[in-house]
Amino acid sequence: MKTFESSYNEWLDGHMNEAESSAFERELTDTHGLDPAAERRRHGIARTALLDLVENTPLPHPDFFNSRLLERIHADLAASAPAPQGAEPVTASWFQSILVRLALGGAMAMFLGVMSYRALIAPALAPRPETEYLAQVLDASSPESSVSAVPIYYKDEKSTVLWLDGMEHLPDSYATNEQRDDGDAGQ
Amino acid sequence: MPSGQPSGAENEDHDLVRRSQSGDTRAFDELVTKYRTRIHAMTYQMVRNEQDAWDLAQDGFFKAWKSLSKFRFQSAFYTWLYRIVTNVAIDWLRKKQVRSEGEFDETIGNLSIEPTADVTPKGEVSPERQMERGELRERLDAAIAKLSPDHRQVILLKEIEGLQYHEIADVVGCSIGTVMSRLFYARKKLQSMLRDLHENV
Repeated sequence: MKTFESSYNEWLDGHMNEAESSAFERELTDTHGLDPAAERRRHGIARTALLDLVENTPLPHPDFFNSRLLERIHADLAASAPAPQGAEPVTASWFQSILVRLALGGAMAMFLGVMSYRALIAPALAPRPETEYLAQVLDASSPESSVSAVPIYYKDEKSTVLWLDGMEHLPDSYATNEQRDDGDAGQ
Repeated sequence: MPSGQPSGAENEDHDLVRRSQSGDTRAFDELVTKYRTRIHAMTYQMVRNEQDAWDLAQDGFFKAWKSLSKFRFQSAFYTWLYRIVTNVAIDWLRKKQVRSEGEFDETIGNLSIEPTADVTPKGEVSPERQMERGELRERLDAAIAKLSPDHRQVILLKEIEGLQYHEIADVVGCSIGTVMSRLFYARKKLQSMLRDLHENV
């Protein structure tokens, strides 16, 4: 059983045969008090006005419409295009650049560390050479006027000889190691 | 403006589609230029906002470009295109949960407007006629705005695009019975809102 709405649409859109159409038009007049001709005319006016309205709805900025759309399409094509052979993916090259930066930073830090060690720490830790306490007599004198004292430095021997010219014997107060040994032995 | 097209135009469209499918964006650009105004007009009548209609038409064409490989040349390109755009607009309406500000407003039917029988373009028209036509468009535009989105969709798909009932049901995603009901009430509301025109014709 068709509803009235369905029948009305089919009648208006010409989907009924002649008999069905006549029967429905009678129903419109008798049951619903509608004039079939007026109904068709109203529908025709509304439809024509609707078509006219849609046809006269302007598209704002039509050229920009196309260019904007093509822009989207080209962006989509670029995004979905496979990477050319041999070329690293964008993510890989990005990762690579990070690695290179890290490596360079590490090398620089290591270089600075070595230089600092060599300049500041290594000298402090290295064994110092033994100090040579070389005695060099710069001046010598004798209380005896008859004795002159002359210091002679032998560079190769790393020794200094005190040459006492005019001294006949050692002073009594000067005891040699031998005399001390003798004295100790005699006691 | 119904969907029926001369086979020559259809063949021309199919040729452009084939070129587009092989990646020729200029061929697709030609299709866009050909149908952009019509598609925008349809989306505008559905969503009733110029900027949204512009964006939805963009989205519809872009979606069509992405789906070109699915076009099997079993229908006119425009038929296939407007189904995509209609679905985009319907999805947008569902997401926005647009509610009609009010269904039929009886006061609209009483607005004074000079009725005119020749609402379709017929060659040269006088400035007075053009003004009348402009007023009529404004009047109808306001009337369509008063329809609910559901009613608006159905009547546009039927009267403008010339879809069959089952095709409308398929696009909108409802039963044929619902389509019949919505179409009937949409037609009656539009007729009521343009009552004074009818009475004076």
